[in-house]
Amino acid sequence: MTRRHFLQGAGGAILSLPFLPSLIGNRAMAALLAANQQKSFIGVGAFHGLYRMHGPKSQLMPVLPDDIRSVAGFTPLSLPGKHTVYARPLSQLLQNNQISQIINSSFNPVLSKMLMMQGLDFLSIYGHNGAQFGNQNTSGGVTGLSSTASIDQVMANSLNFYKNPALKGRSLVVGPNKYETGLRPGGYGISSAYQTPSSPLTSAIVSPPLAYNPQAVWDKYFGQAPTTLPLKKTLVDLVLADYKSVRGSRALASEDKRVLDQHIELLQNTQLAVNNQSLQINGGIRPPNKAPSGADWGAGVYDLVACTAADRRILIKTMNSVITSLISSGLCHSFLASSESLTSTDLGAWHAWAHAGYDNDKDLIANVESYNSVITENTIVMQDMCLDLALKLDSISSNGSTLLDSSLITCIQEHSKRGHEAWNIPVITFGSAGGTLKTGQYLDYRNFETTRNDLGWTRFGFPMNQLWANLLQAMDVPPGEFEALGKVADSHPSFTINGRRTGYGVSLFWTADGASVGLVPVSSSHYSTWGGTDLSSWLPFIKA
Amino acid sequence: MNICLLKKSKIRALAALALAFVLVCTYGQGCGDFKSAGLQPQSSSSDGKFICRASDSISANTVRRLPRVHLLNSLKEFLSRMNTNDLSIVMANAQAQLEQLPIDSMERFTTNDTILNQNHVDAIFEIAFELASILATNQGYVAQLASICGVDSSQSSLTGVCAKTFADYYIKKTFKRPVTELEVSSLLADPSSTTQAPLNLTSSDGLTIFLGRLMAHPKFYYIFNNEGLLISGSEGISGATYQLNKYELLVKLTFLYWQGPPNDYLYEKIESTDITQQEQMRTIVKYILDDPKAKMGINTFYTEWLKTPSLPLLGASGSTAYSEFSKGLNINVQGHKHRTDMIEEINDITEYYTFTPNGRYEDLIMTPFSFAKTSDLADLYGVSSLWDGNSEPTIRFPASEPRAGILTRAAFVANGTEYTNPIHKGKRIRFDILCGELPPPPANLDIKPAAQNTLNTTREIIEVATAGTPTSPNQCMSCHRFMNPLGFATENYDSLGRFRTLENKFDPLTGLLKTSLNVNTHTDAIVKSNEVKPVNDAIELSKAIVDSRVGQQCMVRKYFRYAFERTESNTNDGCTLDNMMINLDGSLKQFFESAAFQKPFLYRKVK
Repeated sequence: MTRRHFLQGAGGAILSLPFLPSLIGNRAMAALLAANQQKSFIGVGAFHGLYRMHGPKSQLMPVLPDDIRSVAGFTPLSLPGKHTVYARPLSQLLQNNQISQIINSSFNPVLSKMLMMQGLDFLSIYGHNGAQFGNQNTSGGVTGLSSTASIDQVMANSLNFYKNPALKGRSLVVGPNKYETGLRPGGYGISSAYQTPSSPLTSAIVSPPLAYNPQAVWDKYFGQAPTTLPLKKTLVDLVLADYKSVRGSRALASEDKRVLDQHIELLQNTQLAVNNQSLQINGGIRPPNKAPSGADWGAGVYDLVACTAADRRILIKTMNSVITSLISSGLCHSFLASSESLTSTDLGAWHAWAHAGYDNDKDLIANVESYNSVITENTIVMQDMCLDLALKLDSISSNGSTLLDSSLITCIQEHSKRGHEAWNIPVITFGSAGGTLKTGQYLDYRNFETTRNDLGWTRFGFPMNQLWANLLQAMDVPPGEFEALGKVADSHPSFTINGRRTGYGVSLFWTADGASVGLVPVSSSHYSTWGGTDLSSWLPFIKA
Repeated sequence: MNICLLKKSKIRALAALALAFVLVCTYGQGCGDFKSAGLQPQSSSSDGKFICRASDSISANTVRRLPRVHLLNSLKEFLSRMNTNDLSIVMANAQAQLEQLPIDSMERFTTNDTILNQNHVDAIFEIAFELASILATNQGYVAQLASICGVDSSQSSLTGVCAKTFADYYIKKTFKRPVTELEVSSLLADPSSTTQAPLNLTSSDGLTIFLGRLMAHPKFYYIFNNEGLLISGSEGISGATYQLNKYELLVKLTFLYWQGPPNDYLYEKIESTDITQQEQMRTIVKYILDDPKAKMGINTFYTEWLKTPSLPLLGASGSTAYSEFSKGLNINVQGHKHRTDMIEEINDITEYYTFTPNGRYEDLIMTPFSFAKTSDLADLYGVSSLWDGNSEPTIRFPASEPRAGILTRAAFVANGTEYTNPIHKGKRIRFDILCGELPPPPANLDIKPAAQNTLNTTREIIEVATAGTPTSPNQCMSCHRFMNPLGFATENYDSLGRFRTLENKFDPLTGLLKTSLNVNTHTDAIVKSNEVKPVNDAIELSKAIVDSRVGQQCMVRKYFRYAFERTESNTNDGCTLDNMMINLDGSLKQFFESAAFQKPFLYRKVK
């Protein structure tokens, strides 16, 4: 990636507060590398779906027929008692040099570091939720489930994730504004945290505080953390004093003094530059508290009536720069972010747009303006929230490996392309979690061996619980640690093996009445044969 | 055809001589004759001796910063207690800062580049800070640096006596001499302490400040040489002359021969050796020259003198004509490195004869042996055996394809195109081998590239293009007569260095071979003053250069500039130059060694 590409970001035209890899201190990199290969997790929750996310007119996932079984180039894997799944290199799915309208050519520099997965199912959910990362008690239409912590919080409180005990508990949950708090139903958060982190097995689950102001985040961490900048200031002052001292030697002749005078004059410029770096730490720059238009963005994007749409996108990228600084400085490695109506001041606009825009059953765009707003929202999520961050992390390298390589950015959708349908979810990741995941692939976990197709009710695939378990393991949290967090009452017997509640989170099924969960799968023809499946095992094709 | 046109209205750049196939003419002032043009060294006599005058004195010079290579080697020596692998990692991690340091100009040797700008100052500071930060935050690195206190030392050891030992050692490496208690306490003082408490070296912050301060210190980056014995004048007053003390001499010796500062052994050795005494200095010089680093140091001189890295990339145009010209040779094919081979051959020739007993200047210019170590270069030369890189060379060129020393090797005749460039070749010999100095082309000169054709040889095209006009027949040749013939003499080697009797000409449209024309290498060369010396080829030209002693004088001048970091003075330096010339007549090694015993090396007059 070129420096120009980096500064422009994925959007090309819009400049956000940059992260400057050339300014990153080796001190920070040395500390980071010394931290025993600390990995970083960044979850991004996207909302609603209800647009052409996959299939022959896909605007998100690779453009493929509804049924890919006859498409050449895929590697099939037949699984006993289950269905056949498929894999193919992403590089073979480029059409006109892009995967899709949203995953366009600007993703190509990191395509080999991405995974695109289709067909992950939230087992217990139907309807709106904030369950993308395990906060699975949040479906508005389903009651009676225990609260569970989202996986970012499980990681943050694990000493297998944070190798440095001093960092245990550190996480940053980024929301669009101050209203995006509270557990669903009722609240809006996708992150659910331990009220008592020291007792995760018994702790109540609460909504963590949200960060929505990049400057406040910056100040919280860098305002308190020791940085190299004071050292640098001290050093330049001392060096300047040394030059002046030597210049004052009476043994120095006039021409020699002239040479040192020139050096001192230039060194004073260096000193000035160092002092002006006061807002820079490890390549990052303290963000301003105002958007480029001049509006105050201290309260987050929804409250920014005065903000332009460009302001909102810049805020997202600016937060990415801060996140990059936090990771590169070794201050925080667990992040979760979400956003809903990024281009509107109306909190509920995303919901209205989705339902008005697209009719999956007829594959019909009912309202072009609403539909395009959904596309724009998802474009911002993928390009500004995910890709921009991926590129920033990928720009920082040491010994041939980048921060993106040791990280895992995971974007999970709320729904599939049919309204309120919480299965057949697309998942897109960046980074290999330190080489754990085999990236550069499209993985299709859908069951094509049923009569379902992608119009109307779409196909089932693999439980999201298994993906969460995989994400946790990729971040070095072992099954023995996260399985114990699962409640007996929330764990389906089919996935309980010798007392191990495999996978992560609630594994009961959403039932046909739509309001409760139970032991009977939504689709008896799909999950009824899955008895004895270890949901903590690796998903097909995903492990390097 | 005359493309040497003059248009006063058109002011063109003065880079004319460096361009391939660029023809130059003069208007108004020309080169005149050799003497009036200043082409003949004023401090040398016609018999090849420099003029040693009783009035010779030491020329004053100004304090200088370290050239880039010297700085890099100084940093490595500063950290020399680290193992090689870790040191490489540390330097690689500071690569971004190291790359900020400007490249020194080789135009008049990098040791003579005294330019100092913001990039230098910023880079020095950033490098020092980054290196110090990297080192101080890694316990393993700190343990290696702290090993001066004992093999089991670590960062936590850096208190009390160990802190003092540590500070003494690294301040000494910065100041390049033993340090005083006051200097140590000053550099160890904690800047945040109001009571002059020492820095806490067991903390990474304290260590960062200490190491960073040293690497960015003026005594690290500048060589002052004003702490020796004042032999005339008043301290600090322009004209004061100092005899370098033994530490200053030692530093000067290693920077000259190693491109870097003394190592710990030498610092220790010098404690009991007074190298201001000639015999003791000779012992140290022998040690330094016997070290493998000396080969690297002296090779730097040859490289910058002969400008071998400026050899153009071969076939960069990728034209059909070049493909035809180089057919079957695998130029620019993976696994082949013709250009590198050509440059390395010159390095091998100079190194071999410099470090072989009794190797002489004449050997550089006249050696009849092939130094080709790769079959690619050997194929170009038509020799079937390869030199092993160590033994006495014995492989001769085919009698039908004769060559002499460096002027007939590929690195001196090759360029990136399918045609030779006689003007460029001649200019290189005139400027670099004979130390001639021609005035730059006048600003009112209209320069046009000479067009190749398939009817004339390159030489013929150049001769016509620089012939002048009927009304001003000498306007081009007043200068070109000092360059063109020197280039014509090597026209029996093509632009890849292959011997030839015919010049292949390629169709400008198809790039295919059109015709082959006889080459002519007979020329009237001017090597010494205005003496016209007819030569039949480059071998005779090489012999003329040796016989005239102008070549030897030039090498002496070049090394004077390199070693003493200034241009020689025609009025003050005749005796030094003459001494160096006498030593060059002995052997190359003797010549290089003798430079350290010359007055400009032993003394410094301040400005």
